[in-house]
Amino acid sequence: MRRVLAGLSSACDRGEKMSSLNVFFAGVGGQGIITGASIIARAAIAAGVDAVMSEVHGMAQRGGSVVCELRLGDVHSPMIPEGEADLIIGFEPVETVRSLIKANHHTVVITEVRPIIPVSVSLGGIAYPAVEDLLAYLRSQVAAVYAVPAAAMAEEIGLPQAANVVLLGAAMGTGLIPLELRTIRDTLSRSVPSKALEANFRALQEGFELTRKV
Amino acid sequence: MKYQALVDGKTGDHELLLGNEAAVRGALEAGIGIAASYPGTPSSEIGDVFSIVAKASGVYFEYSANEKIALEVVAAAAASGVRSFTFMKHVGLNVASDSFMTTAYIGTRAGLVVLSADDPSTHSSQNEQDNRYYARLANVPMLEPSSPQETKDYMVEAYNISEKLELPVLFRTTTRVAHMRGDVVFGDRRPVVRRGVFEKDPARLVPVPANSSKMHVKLLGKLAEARYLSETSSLNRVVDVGVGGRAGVVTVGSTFNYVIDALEELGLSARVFKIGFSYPLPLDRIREFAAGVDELLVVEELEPLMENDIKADFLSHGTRTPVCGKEELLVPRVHELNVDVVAKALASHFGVPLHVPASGKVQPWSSPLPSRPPVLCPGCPHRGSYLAVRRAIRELGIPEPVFASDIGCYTLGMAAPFSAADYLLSMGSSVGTAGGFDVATDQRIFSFIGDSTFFHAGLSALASAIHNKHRFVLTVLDNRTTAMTGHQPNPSMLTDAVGDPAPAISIEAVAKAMGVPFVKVINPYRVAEATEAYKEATQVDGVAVIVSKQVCSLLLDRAKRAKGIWQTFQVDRDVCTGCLTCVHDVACPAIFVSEGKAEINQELCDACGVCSQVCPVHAIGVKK
Repeated sequence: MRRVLAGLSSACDRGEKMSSLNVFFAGVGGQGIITGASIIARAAIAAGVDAVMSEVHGMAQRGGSVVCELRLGDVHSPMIPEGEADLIIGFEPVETVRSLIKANHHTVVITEVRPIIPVSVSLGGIAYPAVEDLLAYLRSQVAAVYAVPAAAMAEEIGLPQAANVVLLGAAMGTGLIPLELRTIRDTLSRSVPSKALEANFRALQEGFELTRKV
Repeated sequence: MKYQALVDGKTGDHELLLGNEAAVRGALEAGIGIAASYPGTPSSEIGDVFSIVAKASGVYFEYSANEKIALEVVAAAAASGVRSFTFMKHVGLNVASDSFMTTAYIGTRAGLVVLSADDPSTHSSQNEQDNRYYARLANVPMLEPSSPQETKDYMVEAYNISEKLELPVLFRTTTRVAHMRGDVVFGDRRPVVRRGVFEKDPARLVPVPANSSKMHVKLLGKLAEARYLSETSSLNRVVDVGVGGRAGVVTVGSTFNYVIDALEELGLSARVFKIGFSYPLPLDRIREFAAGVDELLVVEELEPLMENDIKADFLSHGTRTPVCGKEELLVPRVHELNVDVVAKALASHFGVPLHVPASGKVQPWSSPLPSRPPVLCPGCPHRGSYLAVRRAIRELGIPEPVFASDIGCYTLGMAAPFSAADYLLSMGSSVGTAGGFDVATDQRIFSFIGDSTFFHAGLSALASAIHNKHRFVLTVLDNRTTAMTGHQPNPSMLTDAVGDPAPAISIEAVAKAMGVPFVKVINPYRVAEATEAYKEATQVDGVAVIVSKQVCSLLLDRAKRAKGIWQTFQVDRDVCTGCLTCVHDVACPAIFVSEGKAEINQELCDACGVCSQVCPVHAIGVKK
């Protein structure tokens, strides 16, 4: 069963026949990446937009690179071809840069700015690049870069685990995802414990405001 | 209850499901009564879901100690007239294969489905073996879905086929189907039959030589029937891409998704024969299909199995349509495929330009990025165990020790600074290979096995090592769970698969009862004591067993948070001399270097305290 939302068109310049939106998530195990992507996917299904996702579980509970791919619209493969991501949501600056293999010059990037230093760096391997340099590189390659201090914002709200929801709100603020913010709110209210709902709504709204203003 | 929809979802309801979750709904729609498994990625979530929904759905579910036992439980259940289900990762079927092969001879009364989740590209496995060979080896029918919806639908069909043929059905998924999430529309749930009656029939059910030779003949007869079912199955169907396609593509599983997307991306028209009932192949229909196209392209992941069957069939039938497979299309025989690989092969074959975003590809970051391979979690108790072993070896001056490793999170001890994994074959291999290194070398042997793995395949290996007087230090890394696959229970725990109380088997008591001369339980968070224990163990002339007992830090962290305990360690920068012993000896993801001194990430620290014990100037303490 495949349903396509009328008017959903890809921001990237793929073939005429395709009518899809590709969202690539990248970060570090333990950051709530799959949870975040699932919320958009469930909201999409609720709104009548077809969604497929690909996730890799296993060998990285916490600390390893993790990616998750979400495709809305009329596609079969749950994995995004190289250079075909319309939106990249990076939960960690180096992981955002690593995910640029999926980007083209029209891609929009949302990235957390706070680094998580990998063990390989602490053990004296390659140095962790300056965040400003990573952001400058991202800006030189893609259509738009939104640097979001999601972890700091979530801490400010009093729920550090909601950094993923801040990024979700920021993704919605770009207007690229063809869903209403309230559909995401509805999905959130069915996914998070009621005592954390208020803080999650705030995280979503603050992320949303941040990119909408830009 | 999470997954309530899987239990009481009605016909026509739909839900966003992982392929593995869809497999559970399919099994429930088929009315299974009994399921058994040993966890293994990429199949693990099937068991996780059964753990939650089994009771509510009236299904019996257990985690057996290994895949062979799980298969035996469900084979006997199906022989007693109860539809039954076992699921495992691809290498799990190697463990179960001894009984699996003979299940085909004996057959089944009620439906029996064996799901194998393969892992092309070895995302979380030691090899990427193609388990489609097992259908051919055992002579059993096989189904392969492409999506969560098909996973659900094919499960129901698998039970029908199994009962029609009185044969187990191999249900093969891969990581990209098992871990694909998509919308799934539900069908009817058939009532659960939880208990049956076993009727004796030794001529059919006991494969002594006089019986088994007849069983083989009968099995080949059933395989011919299976071929007929495949020829007439709606799971094998033609999908037209574009109009007037002159080329035919035969494809299966997740590769079907890549073929369709690649054809559309390249703007090519083709007729696609989608195989869902993949063994035996519907060769008559493929031949008819081939007669209507100019050429036949076979696109499949890993081994050229369909290709070889089709080429052999065309040769024997004089079918002239050219067949292009792995070599002709340059589709690799290793690793998983994706739209990029398939599009490249098709573009080159049809002489059309490969789609490149008109905006152009981005330039990669100019220098190498710091890598972020999977590592032992902050607070992981294995870190303390490896640190203690390394310290004992250093203090005793043991030259060239050999580390025989096993399958679990602790294999990550392979990385620096521990470098504590030198050799690894399979579940339980740490014990057998330790004995091999002992008899073949004069080196000191240290082997490591997890608690779940110990019960999976370590017990008989330990008996063998003791009896054969092998000498090595075996550490059972007892983190009170099956951690790597997502925290499933094992026989050393007090609860079973559905959360009921269960007898816990003490690993140290088992080792003592078997006659191990040295058994010691340590807490890996106490580095000095643990180090002393290892020094003592290396003096033992025989097998020394150290049970390193400390609950997985992820579970400990969860329990602490539930109680409102939030403790972390921090570095006193006035005391820290910047020697970085903590960084180099402990290699914890929570510790990083800032302006020449150690610093602890307060979000990641799990307060195991191991770093504070290695600091020579006592600069690390509990954050006040």
